Amino acid sequence: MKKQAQQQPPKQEQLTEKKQLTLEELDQVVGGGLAIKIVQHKDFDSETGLVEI
Amino acid sequence: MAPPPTAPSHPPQATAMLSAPSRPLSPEPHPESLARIPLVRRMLSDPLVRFAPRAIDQQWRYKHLVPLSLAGFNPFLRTLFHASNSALSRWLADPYSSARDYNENDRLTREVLFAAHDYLHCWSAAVIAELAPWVRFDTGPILRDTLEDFVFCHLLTEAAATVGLDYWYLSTIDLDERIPIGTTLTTLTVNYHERYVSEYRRFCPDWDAQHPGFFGDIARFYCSGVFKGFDVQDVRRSPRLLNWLSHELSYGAKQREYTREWLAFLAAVEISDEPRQLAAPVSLEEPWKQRLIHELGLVLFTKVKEDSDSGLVLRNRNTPPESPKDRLPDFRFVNANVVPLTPEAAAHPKSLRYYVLQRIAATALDGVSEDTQRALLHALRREEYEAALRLIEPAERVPPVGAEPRDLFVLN
Repeated sequence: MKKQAQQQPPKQEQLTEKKQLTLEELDQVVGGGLAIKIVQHKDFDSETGLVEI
Repeated sequence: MAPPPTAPSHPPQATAMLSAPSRPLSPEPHPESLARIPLVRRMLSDPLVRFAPRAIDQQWRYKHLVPLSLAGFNPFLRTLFHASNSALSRWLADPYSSARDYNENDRLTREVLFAAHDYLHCWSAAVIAELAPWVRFDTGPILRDTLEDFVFCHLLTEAAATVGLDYWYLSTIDLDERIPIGTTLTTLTVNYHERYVSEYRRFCPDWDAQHPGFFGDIARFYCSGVFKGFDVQDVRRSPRLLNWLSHELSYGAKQREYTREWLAFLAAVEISDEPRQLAAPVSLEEPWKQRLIHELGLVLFTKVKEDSDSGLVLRNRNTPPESPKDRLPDFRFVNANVVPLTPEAAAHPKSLRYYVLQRIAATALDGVSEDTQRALLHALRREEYEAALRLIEPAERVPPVGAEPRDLFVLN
């Protein structure tokens, strides 16, 4: 029983409390901004490409 | 800066009322009017702020000939700036009518929502001045010793604008259902919506953005760069989470960087220009900061959810912080309609880029030939700013529309 109790996953609340994300950690996912394009502007419409005329 | 030991902690509901009454609200807006958004309607009637046109032609932005809006921003002035030739400037003549006449490609909706975002910046700056008067956030001076306190307070206004408009209002409604104008906009500055809350709770079961304490969560994140509740494994397993949090995390760092640069410019304080240092965490553990976060969250929640200022009537005193007149202009933070370019200022590439963008936006587009527009676009792409200036110099400027401020934040 004791062993079973030890193997039980922690409560979700505890997991949530421990979870966090930083920009440096995010780079692991997006490859330093190379894998996906992150809009680094408040306005999503900014720098979305100038027109071809 | 620490508050005086005897500084009272004003419960928001107990703060004295000391200022002018609100202007009366308008008659009932048309069903297709953006004034049906409570914050927009309040923005239009709140004597705390005023709208001010600047001599700018927003057609450059509409045609994607410049990469961002150059309307500018300065919450210390409690003024909502807009381009004199823009959808917003035309709409202001009758904001209670249908928005459809002004909203080609959602130009008006975007501009009005950004005005509401800026309104919350101004409003929260005034609230901070009431709740934490020892900072002197509305008047300055900003000194080397107080610079980080001003950075903290400015980040609070950013959190107030984003949480208030995006998280607490736009993310809780279907905008096009609420105001049927065919808009494709859902939120303004965050990729978050309550319709996806089950996806957020899949990874953070107790996730809840719709309570006053959430303001503190976002404010602490803006200061620290640490977003609580999710981790790397979560964003790997949810493209929706990745989309939302990647923008929050990346622009969050930019906000600390830009805020420190702007306020240091206003203060005439020299600081490091190394991006990592500029984006470093902002201290928020001081008790007065914790208290201010808590109290601002309460009054913001009441403002957005109940359209009430919690009994606060904000003072109309305002002698805003200004940059020293003899300071070398940095056109990321200085109005090119007011301050001329000097050879010294042109020597700084970041500043020169924003001077050129401002100078182009201050030109009447209709008087510029298609060939010149094309040449300008190519010059901007190649970062050939002197060439861009030579092209734009002979063209007719947008007519002046009155006094404009020297200090203006145009960085985005």
